[in-house]
Amino acid sequence: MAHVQQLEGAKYICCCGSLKPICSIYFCRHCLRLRCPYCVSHEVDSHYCGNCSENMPSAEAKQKKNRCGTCYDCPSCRQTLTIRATTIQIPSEADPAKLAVQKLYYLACGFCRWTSRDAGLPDSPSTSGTWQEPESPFSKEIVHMHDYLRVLALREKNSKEKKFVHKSKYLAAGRHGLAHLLPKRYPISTPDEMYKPIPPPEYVAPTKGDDEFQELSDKFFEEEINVPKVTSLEQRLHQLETQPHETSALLPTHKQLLIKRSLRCRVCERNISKPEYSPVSVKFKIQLNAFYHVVQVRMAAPLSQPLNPGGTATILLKLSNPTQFPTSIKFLPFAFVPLSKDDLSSQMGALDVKVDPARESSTDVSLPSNISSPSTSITIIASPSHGGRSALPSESSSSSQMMKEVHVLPIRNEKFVNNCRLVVVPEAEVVLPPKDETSDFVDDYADTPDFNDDPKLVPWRKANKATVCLDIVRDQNSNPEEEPVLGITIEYDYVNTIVALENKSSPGPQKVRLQTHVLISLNTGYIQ
Amino acid sequence: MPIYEGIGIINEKYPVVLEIGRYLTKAGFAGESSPRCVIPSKIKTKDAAGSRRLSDFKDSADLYQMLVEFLHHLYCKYLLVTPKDRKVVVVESLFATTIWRQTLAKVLYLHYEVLTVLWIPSPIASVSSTNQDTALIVDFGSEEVQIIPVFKGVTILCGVVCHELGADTFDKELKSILMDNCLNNSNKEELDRCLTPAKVEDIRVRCCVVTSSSRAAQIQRPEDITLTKFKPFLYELDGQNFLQFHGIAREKPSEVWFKNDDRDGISIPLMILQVLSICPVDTRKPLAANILITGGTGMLPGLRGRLLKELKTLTANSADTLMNDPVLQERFANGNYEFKMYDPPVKPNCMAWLGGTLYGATEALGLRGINKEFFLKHGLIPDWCDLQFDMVNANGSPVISRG
Repeated sequence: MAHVQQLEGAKYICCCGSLKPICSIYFCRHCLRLRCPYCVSHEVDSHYCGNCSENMPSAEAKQKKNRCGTCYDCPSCRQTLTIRATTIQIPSEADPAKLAVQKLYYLACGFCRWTSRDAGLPDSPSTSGTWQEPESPFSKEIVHMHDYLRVLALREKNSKEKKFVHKSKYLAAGRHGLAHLLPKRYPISTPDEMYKPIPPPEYVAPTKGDDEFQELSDKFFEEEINVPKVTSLEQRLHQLETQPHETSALLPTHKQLLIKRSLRCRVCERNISKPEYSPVSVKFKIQLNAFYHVVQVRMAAPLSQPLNPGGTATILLKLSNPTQFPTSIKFLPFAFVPLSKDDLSSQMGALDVKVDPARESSTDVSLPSNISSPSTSITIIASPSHGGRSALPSESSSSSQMMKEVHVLPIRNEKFVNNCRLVVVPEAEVVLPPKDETSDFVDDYADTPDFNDDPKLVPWRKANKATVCLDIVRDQNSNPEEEPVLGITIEYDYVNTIVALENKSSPGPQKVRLQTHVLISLNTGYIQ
Repeated sequence: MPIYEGIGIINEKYPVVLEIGRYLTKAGFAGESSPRCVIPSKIKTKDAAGSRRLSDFKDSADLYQMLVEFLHHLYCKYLLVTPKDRKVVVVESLFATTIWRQTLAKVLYLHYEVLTVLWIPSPIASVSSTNQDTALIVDFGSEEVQIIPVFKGVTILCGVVCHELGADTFDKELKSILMDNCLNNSNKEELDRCLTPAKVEDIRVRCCVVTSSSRAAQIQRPEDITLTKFKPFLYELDGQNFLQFHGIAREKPSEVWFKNDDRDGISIPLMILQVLSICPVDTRKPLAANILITGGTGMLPGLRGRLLKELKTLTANSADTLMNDPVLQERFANGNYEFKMYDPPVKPNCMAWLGGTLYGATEALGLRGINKEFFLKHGLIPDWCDLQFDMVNANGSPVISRG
């Protein structure tokens, strides 16, 4: 199923201007806009270990430096280490004359045959054995340096707050001629205290002359180098505490944790995707994938012959309605207007966040002249047929949302080609019934209600799906090297149930008319 | 769960410390002694190459997209924190391009909604990780070797000398030596195919050393190169295939740093003397006694000893080795300079990063960091090469001097 939807063939244009297949795009039910991984904010939801599937609270994860407490990685090849048992015979405690069997455990890599014995670690009597961990030989000195710099910085802060002009420009220089160590967190009161000298740091890196740093001795070169016994760069960089030179100094490292991410809409700050807490669950508490909300479009049949510039063709598009409510679909000429901060730049002050002009001009979008108002990729449009029922947001609130989007969304405006257009925009709307989970298992066409379709427009339909026949023409002056891409705008009904849930006084679900912009690449859009 | 993050003893949100290098990126948290991860500065792509280096950007929009993707990967795979509202310390090269800084700032402030970013130039960061304030930094980068003098916390910018002697040059040299010195395969085309950049890098990291000056002299004389003296070594290509190389391949490549016959006619010891001679006279002796090696390529065994030895030889009393440079000869040939090197608490590749975490864990972040409001208001971040930011007010925060 995934490969059908993951087609690069039909790409939806997100609000931020990214082009994504429908399965990697989201739909915010509160803003009624498309969102994509690029323009939502990603948050760390929970930490877990990918090997033992154990959850770890984030405070603990932080303390353990994002590493699992039980699982180990092979320092040599990064595979997960397994615990092996071995037995030895030791004199029994009760009767020293007899021998008792004791189980001992060690770590072994099933891939590269590294064992904890290679590192010179003794076997452990318990399975969770405490293995020696790599530790920086200078960690104490580094702590001293931290403390010392903290004192300096605090001194600088205090002097600033007290309006004593601090002469030295750099922290490193602050030590000279300046006052007393300040454990207190509040500014000191008298200048006298300020000018007491800071005690010299407890640790400074020593310097050594050529008597201590010596050249490699001739003895060094007498021995033949055994390359496999020297660590590779990768192995060193995975054990950053010591960065050993010899493989014998490699120590098992705790496995790095993984995270579950939740996604949040930047405009309304509501969750768009939130996974379940349990690491073994692949389900979501909230998952607003566009796949469940937006009409799906793809090619139903390949082009019968290549479409050259100026040529015409008839294509079959398959539409399907994934929602629980009927929808009515209308085709419009491509009307995507990229979000741009140009008109808002005066308010943004000196900030230059304009999209690169080269990119802007390279988008081959030709706007039909009849669309005058700049529309975002999904616009809420008052529909005369449902005028009474739908509580539509007023024009002003929709434009304020647009303003917010311009400020908050990271704008991408990916380059795209759109070189085909509809010959005639069909007047008729295509009505799609709601999705019925059981309909996929019924082979009976008799159930399908009659929608009085024009057979020329809708040659086939079944349950919530229909195919549509459209005449298209490729632009005369398009580049013959490029593949033909049809850009269309689809207007459809969307029933917003969230309004009724949030607002008890609301009469019922809100029905709105939305637009979405799709780019269908005609050569690759169909795969058998 | 994020809701519990603020409860308990460890309620402080530690700032993220980033050092995005040309080749490797170091990332971790302030207050820790080593980075959480060191990963290549690359993003994955769908094309045949499979990845793209951040430094290969086409324009600022392209770089913006790459940085968004790269930081997303970094935060979600390695740091495992929500980027929003968490402070960041960026350790950056002194010569980071404006387009790079501006784009990185845009990504951090606008896309990831970071509140405060402290931008530290890497020389200052490296010096502070020794807890001293004076050092002559010899930074072995992936592209070039930069020598940057920092005296009492002030970078002497006019004294900076850079040359293309970084890992890329080293690897090029190493590869040509490997091609000429393979003992069990003489097919040049096949060798060229086997020795991919990754393999050459691996050989550099695992096998190469900086040899002693006496052996270096022998390398220059072809008749002295014998297999008994330079023991050959085996390098495993895959499970079955081994390449055997002449031992000279371990020692000769690093001579690019010490010989003076490349196109610039410059070696690292000479560069150091040049820098010292540009620096004010009072700073020369302290700088010479506080040499600090940073950068991953500077981790080759034997480098420090060899460099000190070379400096000593160059400035020895009777030296006529100071090329034909009368200025250098006059200043240094009397042998009264004592050269010393730092023995820092971290490996050279994490020096600058450690400086970043030291700053990040202090109040300096709030005092010197550039907050989001400043960036939104002015649209740029202060830069030493931008004359607009030439002044600071009494609080030490930058003042924009334009009208």
